[in-house]
Amino acid sequence: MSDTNRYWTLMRLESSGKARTQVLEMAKIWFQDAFDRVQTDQLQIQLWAIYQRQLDQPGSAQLCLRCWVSHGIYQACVQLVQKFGQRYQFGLADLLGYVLDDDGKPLAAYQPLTVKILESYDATRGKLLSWVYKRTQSHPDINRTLLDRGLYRASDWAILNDTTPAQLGRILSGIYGWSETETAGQCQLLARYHQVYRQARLQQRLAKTTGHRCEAPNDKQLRQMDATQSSQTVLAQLKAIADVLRDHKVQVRQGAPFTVSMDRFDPDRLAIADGTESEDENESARFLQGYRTQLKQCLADSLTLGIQAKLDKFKRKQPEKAQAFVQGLSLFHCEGLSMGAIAPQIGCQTQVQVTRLLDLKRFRQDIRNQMIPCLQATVQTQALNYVSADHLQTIAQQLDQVLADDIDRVMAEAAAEAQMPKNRTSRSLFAVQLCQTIHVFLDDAA
Amino acid sequence: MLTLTPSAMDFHSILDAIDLTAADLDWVVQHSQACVDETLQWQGFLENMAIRGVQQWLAAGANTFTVNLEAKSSASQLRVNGYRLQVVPVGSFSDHWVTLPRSLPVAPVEQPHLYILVEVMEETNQVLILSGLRGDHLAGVMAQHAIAPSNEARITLPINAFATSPDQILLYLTCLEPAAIQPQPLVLAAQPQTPDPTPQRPDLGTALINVSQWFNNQLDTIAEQLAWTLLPPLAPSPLRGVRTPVEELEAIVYELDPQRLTIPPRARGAYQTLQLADLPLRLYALVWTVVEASEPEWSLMVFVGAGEGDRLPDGLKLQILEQDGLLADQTFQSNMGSDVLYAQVFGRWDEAFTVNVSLPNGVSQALPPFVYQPETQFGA
Repeated sequence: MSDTNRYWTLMRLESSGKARTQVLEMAKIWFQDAFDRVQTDQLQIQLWAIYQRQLDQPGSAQLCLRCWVSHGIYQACVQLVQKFGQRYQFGLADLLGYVLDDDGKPLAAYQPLTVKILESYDATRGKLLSWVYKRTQSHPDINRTLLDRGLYRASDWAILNDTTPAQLGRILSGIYGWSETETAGQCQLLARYHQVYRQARLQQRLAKTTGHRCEAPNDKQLRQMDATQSSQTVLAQLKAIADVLRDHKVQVRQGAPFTVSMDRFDPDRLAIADGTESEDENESARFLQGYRTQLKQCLADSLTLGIQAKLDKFKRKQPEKAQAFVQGLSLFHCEGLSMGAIAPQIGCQTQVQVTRLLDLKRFRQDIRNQMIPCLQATVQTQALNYVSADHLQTIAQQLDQVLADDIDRVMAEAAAEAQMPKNRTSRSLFAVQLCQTIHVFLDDAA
Repeated sequence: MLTLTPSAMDFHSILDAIDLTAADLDWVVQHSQACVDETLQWQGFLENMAIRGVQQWLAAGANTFTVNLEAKSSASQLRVNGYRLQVVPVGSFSDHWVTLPRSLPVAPVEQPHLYILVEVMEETNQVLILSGLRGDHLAGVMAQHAIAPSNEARITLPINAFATSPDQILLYLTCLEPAAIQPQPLVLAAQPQTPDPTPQRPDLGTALINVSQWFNNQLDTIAEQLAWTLLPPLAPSPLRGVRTPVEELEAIVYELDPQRLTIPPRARGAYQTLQLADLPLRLYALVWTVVEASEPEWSLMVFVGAGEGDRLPDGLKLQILEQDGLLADQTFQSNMGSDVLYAQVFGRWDEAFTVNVSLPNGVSQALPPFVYQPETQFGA
């Protein structure tokens, strides 16, 4: 952002939906004249000072800042697309229309985002670029567009609703090092906010008048929260609290994401102490051979039960989806079509709808979970022929792990196929069996 | 001063989120209304959304679960295939710590087999099943982080203790007998303790609740730390419909013998919700000064009522003590014709009173002494 031409080129949206820069001659002449010998790192400070003191009557300093901010808005959108665009299926064209609304002309009644950003910026609180990113990435239309694609950003008001004064106190004094008095004041404001805003939200829910997103508290509510200050001040204080909480939350998530540790099967744990090791290893080996012959049957049984259960559930609530589900499974696993190619064949609009309808990950997990009791029943019956009752419990637990591991491997193969969108060859046990089992249901559904 | 940081990329995926239906939301709103306490209402609302979300999640797959909501419907416990599940909601804000929605039963047979951490997005009517904590791992987690269970505080746990994946939770529920997960008995701590850096509890050895500040519309630090809520001045009258805490107290005062109780309009009250064993209680304190006497006095009146939808158990005891001994001693009997237990004492301005609430089984909760020390409010 150090390129000085960003102060006299405006980032604009073409009718094609693409962004391009437009040179504003007026701004360029004024800028080059005024900042001829100014160090790059001093440029923005001086420009801001002129803009603040309204020393530029024709609004040239403001125009230069509008140009610079328009580039920042564009970059903020690029950042979103780079980070999330591929997974959540959106591009720059989906975002820029909401935020690149400055045409560089003298201001009339309409206030473009660039001007809103400049007018709300407080230079004592941080860099202008941070403010541009924040305002762009929290823009209501951007947030709504991303929410439609499966990406959620909680509003300030939702964050405040869900934070207790005790949590806030702990964060402000413990982590941000605020004094006791400052902390107490903020906690009291949060408590008063809860009394007014949460109650109103619950009342709206009761009356079913609530929209989804939390709106900023209105003037009356702000006065109820603190009558001793202007509502604008109270609003700014609440937003500042939300900023701290959001910042802390992001730091925590980056530093320590929710960890999910899978209790992986540990082959060493198969060995039992007490000198019965080799005997039990032999036992286990026999069981493994025993259950391998049962694996296919249990898989077939579980698939039949599982598909039937899904169909029963669909038929109760969304009967039109029952057939789509079976066809989708078949097209994906047996015909090797991608989710996107399946969509029009089963009445879905998008690939995401197919993904959610089939929910293959959960389906595979559910089938596996049905297979385990089936295998256990078989293997434990055989095990009774081999081991003493004393060992049965221990061996059953070990077998649970062996079985889960083996089924996990089968399922992992199926999952790997699911991530190859084209030219898949369904060779996994899961897919082969599914394609045999599903015929019954396809005939039924037809 | 608050500063702007560029790290506000606070987006997260809701691709796996569960959408609550209009019918779910109707249920949630209905069940959340039952909670009178405004400060607990929001928490109850999130809990109910989380419960409904877990039910949806279980119902979505190819397996069928037997799901029952426990009889105490405000409690976020579900019975699933014989498992006791405790739903632990977190809202739009979360950091390293999460507080369980209620105090833990001491007996292992009543403790949950599984705790399920659920993110509730109230704004979008969605929930995300995050992870779980096995009941048999709880004692180990608490020992590791020096978290001592107490008989009144809700437990705060590190969020990374919830390390069981949603897939594993489904696996347990489908393939494992609940008996395979055996919660450990929890030994009650003599003093409530919570891990650093969770909210600091006052040292009950030296802490005092100074009620004189209540007349300035303020709670003193200790009362605030103990989560007391100050009530507006009373206006005793018969009341109807959903009550706020102050209306509830007014109704209690009205329903008690109005002949014997003369409460001046200048009286101020505050209340606190506490958990005794697994029993939610509402404790009201009403105080006023008595200047008519030759020496200025003050009066403390304490009411104990059951949590929403509950009744007080027979044998519940309310005692008020001063340094020299017992001043008031009341025991609840359901045939008394009242739903609340109360006691009143008078004393000089330099006298302190301790309130003690106990169950017949000996589980008890003592509060820091109440004092009336008007001079300290000016920071002398």
